[in-house]
Amino acid sequence: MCLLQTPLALLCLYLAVSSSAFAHSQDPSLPPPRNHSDSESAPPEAHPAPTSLRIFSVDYHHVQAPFEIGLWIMLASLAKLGRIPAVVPESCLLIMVGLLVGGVIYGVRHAAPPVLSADAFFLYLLPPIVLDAGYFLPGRLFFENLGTILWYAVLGTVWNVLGIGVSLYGVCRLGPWGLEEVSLLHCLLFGSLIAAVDPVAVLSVFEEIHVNEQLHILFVVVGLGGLCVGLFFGLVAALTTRFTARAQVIAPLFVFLYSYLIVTCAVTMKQYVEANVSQKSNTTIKYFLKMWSSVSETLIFIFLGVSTIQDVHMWSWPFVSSTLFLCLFWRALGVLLLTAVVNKLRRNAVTFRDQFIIAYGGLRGAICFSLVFLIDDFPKKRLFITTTIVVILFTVFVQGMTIKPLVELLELLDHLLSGIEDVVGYWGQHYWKDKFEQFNSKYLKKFLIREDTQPKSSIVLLYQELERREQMGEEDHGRRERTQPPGKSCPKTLTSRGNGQHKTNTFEKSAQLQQQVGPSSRPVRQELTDPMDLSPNGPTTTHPGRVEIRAQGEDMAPPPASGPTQDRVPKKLSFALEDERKS
Amino acid sequence: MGSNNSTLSKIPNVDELMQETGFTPAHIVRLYDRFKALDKDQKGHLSPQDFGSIKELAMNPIGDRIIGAFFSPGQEAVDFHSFVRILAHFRPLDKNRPRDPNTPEPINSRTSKLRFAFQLYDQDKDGKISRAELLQVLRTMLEMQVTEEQLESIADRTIQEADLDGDSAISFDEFRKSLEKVNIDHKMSIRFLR
Repeated sequence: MCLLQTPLALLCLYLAVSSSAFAHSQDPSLPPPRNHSDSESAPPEAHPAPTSLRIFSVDYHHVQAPFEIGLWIMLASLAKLGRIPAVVPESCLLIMVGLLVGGVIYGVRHAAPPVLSADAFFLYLLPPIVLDAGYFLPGRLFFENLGTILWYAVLGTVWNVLGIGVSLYGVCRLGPWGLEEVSLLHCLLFGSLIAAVDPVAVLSVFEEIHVNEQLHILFVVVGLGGLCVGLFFGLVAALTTRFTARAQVIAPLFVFLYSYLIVTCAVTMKQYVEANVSQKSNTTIKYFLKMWSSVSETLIFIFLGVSTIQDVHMWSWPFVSSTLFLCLFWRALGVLLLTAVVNKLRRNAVTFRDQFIIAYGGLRGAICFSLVFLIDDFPKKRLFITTTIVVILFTVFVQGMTIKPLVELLELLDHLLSGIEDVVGYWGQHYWKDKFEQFNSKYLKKFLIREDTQPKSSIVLLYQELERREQMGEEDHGRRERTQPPGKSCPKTLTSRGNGQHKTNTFEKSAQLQQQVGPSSRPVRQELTDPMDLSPNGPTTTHPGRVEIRAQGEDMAPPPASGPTQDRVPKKLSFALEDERKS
Repeated sequence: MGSNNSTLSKIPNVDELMQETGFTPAHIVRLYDRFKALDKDQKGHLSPQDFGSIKELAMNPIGDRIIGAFFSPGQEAVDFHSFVRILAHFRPLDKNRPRDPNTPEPINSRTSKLRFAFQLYDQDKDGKISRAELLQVLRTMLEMQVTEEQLESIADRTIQEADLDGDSAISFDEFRKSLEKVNIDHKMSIRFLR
């Protein structure tokens, strides 16, 4: 992660430095211009800049929004770099940074900082995160547990929504706190957005503690399930109320669908893209995805922190506390019940520990926060907003920091269990997965993957690797090769003289390289592997051929493929060389 | 059933085996069929190579440890009885087991399961999981995903959390304690019949 953030941070630093001069001349009473047009807030007032400073202030406005955003990202990066790794999860930290920045801006400007508009959120910020999650989804486990996942996602969210919505309504009705005008529908809406598990916060917590892959996936998909339920409720609301401003709701519904589609797309495309695309592009894609989603995450959390420093908050103790309580209560109950049913059906039951993590880790996050803004303005809207913020802060901070990771031990048990199943020859989900993989190889892959990339034997891979290294400028070797007389005869596999010379060099060089590469059987650890570290891709996700490819792409080092393969290869190459010299 | 009985009769001491492990005749027959299928040369016992031919196991990061668990130290052959006895660890718990302190601990009890898991870590069998052993396991499991420094910090953190008597190693009791909230019975059980 560090390496990703550093260029970003540097860029932002540059922005900051170049703008800082302008900032001094900034008239503090000018409201910051809105980058994304927000349908709810009033259009920004336009004050004419003082004549003597006109140039400067215009320029500042120009870079205003990106500057601020850059500043926030930079702060977040710094925060991450110097973080307290074990104790505080990333999301907490980011929110704290956001609070800080928001406080600073508020103090300087005496005006509300830029507000996260729903459009911006859904169109720009959410898709990268979802895409990233989908792309790095550990495929095998996902499909194995698909049933359970859907179960939790859909039913669980429905349960939460209904439970929270209805009971909240009951609370409003009963209490003498002047909350009667809050209708049932509003409560249900609120319930739906509060109950939606936010993938962003959860993922950022779990990635850090290397949790059980199953849980990770469960969460990603529960998030999706939440989206689906949101969709459903939105549709219901649209149909039953026919408020004029319901059109506002429809747009985000499309985005729900959109995000869902993105993940499906990412998951399916991943397999084929990886094979089709060259190593470099592959790595680039991964880096890019990671960077993009990391930026989005950062932004979201910071916005979260920043908007808590707004000056308009409506407070209602009973509402807030009862919401909090109900969320936890219904969530725990829901998880327990669902798990009880699920365990009867599943072979590999979800343990109490897993349940605990699921229930406890129901972190509310940025999604429900921005969803709150979508609700039509009604008298108590501000109240809802405030409550949401509180819930989010509470869950992220309190719950986020108390999930204790003792899960490395648990991971071993998972592997153990699947190993024993293999010994026993259990025809469970593994069997069907294998069947699918066979079908996949036979038909789908032939269709979707370029012909020339199909035979990925280790020799070919090694050869490509060597080509790459040669291109990367091992100049002295190359020069020495070229001064020698060209090889006496072309190897049979090559077509022209020109190629022959080139390839001869590479073969000879490969022999030399083999001597270098041979001894190092452990993968070379480089800083560049950092971004990949936190994605829970176990080495066992796909069948053997794939492991080699991925290993190559990620490490960018001499092929660290499994030991025996590596040992066999040099012999073959040296035989090829000897044949070549003899003939 | 007829076919079950005929298979059962081929296995020596099958009653004792069932008694000891708690498997039903149907289980035993299934396991026997599997045993025969794995024993490609019809030797009557399994060698490490037979296990090695299970291709999914070969891809499992702790596959070789699992295989090692079947063989007693120094031995290169597993007969059917030992095979079943090891697998008995993964039988789901019996809910109505009489709490009789005199009967020996059944193979699939929680403690036995934990001990089995413990031995996967403790390769030198000294009764403790040292930092090096833990690192080794973590390395095989998380091989491609983390750097060496991260591995070390994970290992250190795990030991820190689990080690109660401050000897920088995890004894069986500490191991058990750290997993006491975990539903081991579920986590370490499989259903032997489809």
